[in-house]
Amino acid sequence: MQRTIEYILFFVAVVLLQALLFDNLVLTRYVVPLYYVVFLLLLPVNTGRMGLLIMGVLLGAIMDITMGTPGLNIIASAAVGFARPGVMNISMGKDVQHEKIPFGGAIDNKSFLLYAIILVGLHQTLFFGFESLGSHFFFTLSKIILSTLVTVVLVWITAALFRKITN
Amino acid sequence: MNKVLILLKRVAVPVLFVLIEVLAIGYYTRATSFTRARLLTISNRVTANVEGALRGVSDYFALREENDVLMQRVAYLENRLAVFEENEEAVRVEESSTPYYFTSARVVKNSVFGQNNFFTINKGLLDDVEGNMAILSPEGYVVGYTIDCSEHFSVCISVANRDFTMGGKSTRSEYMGSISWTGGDWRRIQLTDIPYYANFAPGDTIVSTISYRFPPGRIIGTVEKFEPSEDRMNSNVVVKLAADLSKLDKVLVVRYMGGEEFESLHSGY
Repeated sequence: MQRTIEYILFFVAVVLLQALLFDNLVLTRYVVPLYYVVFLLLLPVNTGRMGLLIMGVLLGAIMDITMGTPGLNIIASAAVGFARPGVMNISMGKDVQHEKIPFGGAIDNKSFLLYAIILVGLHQTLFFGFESLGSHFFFTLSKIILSTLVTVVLVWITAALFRKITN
Repeated sequence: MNKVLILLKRVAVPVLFVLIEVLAIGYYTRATSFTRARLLTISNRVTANVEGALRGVSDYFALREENDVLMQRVAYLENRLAVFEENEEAVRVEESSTPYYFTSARVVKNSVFGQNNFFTINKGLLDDVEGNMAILSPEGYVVGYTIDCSEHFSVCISVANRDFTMGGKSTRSEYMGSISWTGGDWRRIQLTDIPYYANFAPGDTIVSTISYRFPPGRIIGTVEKFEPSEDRMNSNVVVKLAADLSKLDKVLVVRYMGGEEFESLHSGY
């Protein structure tokens, strides 16, 4: 069971949500959620390393075109795709082997939270770090922290929904 | 031989990853505002129509505020018209032709939180909108200029973009400098290259100087802070933007008939 159709629909939904909703959301300049990274986090547990990297680049390229950021999203999401197996190992260990998607079931909430914070944090750090190129250090730092928090909450809600729908 | 293959398989992903990152970082750091605008022009073909429709729904909620602004503007223009009519009676000047032509447009996509912000308007090449046309808010404040156009849409570079530049001067002391944005807060921009002896005070109005993009005398913002530059030869002025970039909706596009002539004359120097 690879749930190919579910993942294709999920991909389209994530791209549309990011481009039409989160890119246009004017909350505060400290919170800019790069929500689309949720797709890389919830890919099947048995996705290969090459597959993760390719999905990261593909998703990043599409977001680059919609946001008008040449290469910036690729830098961030290729790194998330590349780092995912390692981070999964550190945060979830062996629990994950019995699951198809990396949320719920044998995986406890604490492990998933750690997994999401590390990967979302990495993603937002690379994105905002390269975006500001070192200027406005404290502003960028607070933007990274606050955006990561908001995105992790959104990832959590999405993961719960996704598990319910696909099970 | 088998061992070599296994080794290759093992390092393929890390090597590919490093390669992708190097290429992406190289592309990103070398990209200009024009590259960014090009990407947005591509995605606009797909998303701008949807965003325009969504915008249409939210419009109904802003109608009242919109009406107030328009009524104020009507009143202001009526007043000016009255003055002109009176003058015309008195002097009968030859029919004056202004080199500027204004059209209205709607903002269908906007951003303020990035370090290089753009917005997209719903007029393009088919509406005679081209690159390097000034964009003003309905109140007449400077907000940006067009940079890349498709048939029905144009991507505009916002004042809050690190590649944005224009000339600005104080209405009180007439010293000219250049306007730019250093990133961070989109409500505050910089006026640099002001001689250190120039006299500025908080609250002074900063307006545009004439260029091939901008008509002269359009309000950019007001002086908030005034400090000497690092080498103490010049002064940096922090300007609070008059236009609220986060609420852009209706805008004016300004075509300068003499723009090309102006640009070609100046490009020689």
